[in-house]
Amino acid sequence: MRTCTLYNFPPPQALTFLNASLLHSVYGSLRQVQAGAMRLAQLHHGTSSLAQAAIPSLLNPTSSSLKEWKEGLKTILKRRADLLCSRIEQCPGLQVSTPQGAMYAIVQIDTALLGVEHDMELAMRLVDEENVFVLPGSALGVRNVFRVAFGCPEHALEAALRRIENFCHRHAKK
Amino acid sequence: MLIHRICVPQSCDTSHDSSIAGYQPAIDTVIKSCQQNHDLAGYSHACGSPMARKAIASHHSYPEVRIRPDNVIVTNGCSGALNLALNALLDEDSTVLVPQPGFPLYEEIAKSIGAKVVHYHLNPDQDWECDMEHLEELMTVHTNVRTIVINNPSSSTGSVFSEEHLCEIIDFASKHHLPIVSDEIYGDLTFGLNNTFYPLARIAARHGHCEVPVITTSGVSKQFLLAGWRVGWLCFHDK
Repeated sequence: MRTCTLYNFPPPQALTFLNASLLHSVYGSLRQVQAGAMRLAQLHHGTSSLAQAAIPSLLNPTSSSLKEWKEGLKTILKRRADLLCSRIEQCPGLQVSTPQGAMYAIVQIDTALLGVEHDMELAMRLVDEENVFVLPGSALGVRNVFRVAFGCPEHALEAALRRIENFCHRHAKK
Repeated sequence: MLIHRICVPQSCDTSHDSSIAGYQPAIDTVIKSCQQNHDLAGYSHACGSPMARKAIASHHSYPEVRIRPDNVIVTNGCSGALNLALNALLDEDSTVLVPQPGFPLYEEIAKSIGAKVVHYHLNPDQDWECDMEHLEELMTVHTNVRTIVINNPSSSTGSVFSEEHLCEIIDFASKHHLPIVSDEIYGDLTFGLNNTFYPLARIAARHGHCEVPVITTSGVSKQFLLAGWRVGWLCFHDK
């Protein structure tokens, strides 16, 4: 049996369900992984038949109503992203990269300027002093940043940003 | 102390944001199907209904590369797709590269299999693009790296990778013989000038790297604000 391995495949896990040989070529190197995934799918049995009925309408490339809805959603998200960025710019000790998509942004913290040791301390003090919760970057494996989500109602986003700004002005070292 | 979680909810469950409703025609389709199509009360194929798989295959086919319905598995949300993809790819002796900052589920799935997780950095000075130098360093240190997970648009940073950067990633994967799991749950939900979403599988084909296998995961949770429906899928782009 000739074995030609371009990629590190197939893994034993996929082979658990297969009686396939290890022979595979440069192309089609995911063939056995795909077969393994399909066998594993039988353990979960996919998702609701009813919900699947909507997939063709959701992925219809010719639907003008879908395009319109999506553009409306993007407009709303951009407005919120712009609001986020403009308000964070007013916060001493914080810096944000302008989001380009999705619903999140990472804000970098100048810990020395704000008088905190790290992102966890900032997050806890924001909760204590301003009743605002931000996700500390340590939860995502990166220190001295926090993540904000802007897929929430604008009035909530405005309120949160105002409170974060108050916090920064109060604590920033002159 | 009573904490009012009044703002910046980290779960970002926009289904609770009444100012943005999910795509109504899809909701209407399900209501009508519930009332009229009693077949939908029965089991569907474990990999998804033929109709759903055909639509997904068409959506993820491009002039440069086409896939068939049998290259598609419909799953319990995009999380279900990631779970399936990583379970089929990894085992206890393998290593997976995941982004940092990144969606914590990649690591949870990998660890549940007993695989080793290695984080690669995203560069804050370059719009949170993948740190390619760090990736190359990691490949000199770690063995049995089975796959790399890419998330674009990023659910942690909000960054959208340029075509040029996607080519760098594909070149890296080709050099090290790595398949890519491309988490594209946000799809074309980009905004602002010059921020365009490019499906990674399409870019691989466009730039002559069809030999790089790509497993694309996606779903309806974010792009259509239907997170509670738990509809996702994975597609195998593998010429």
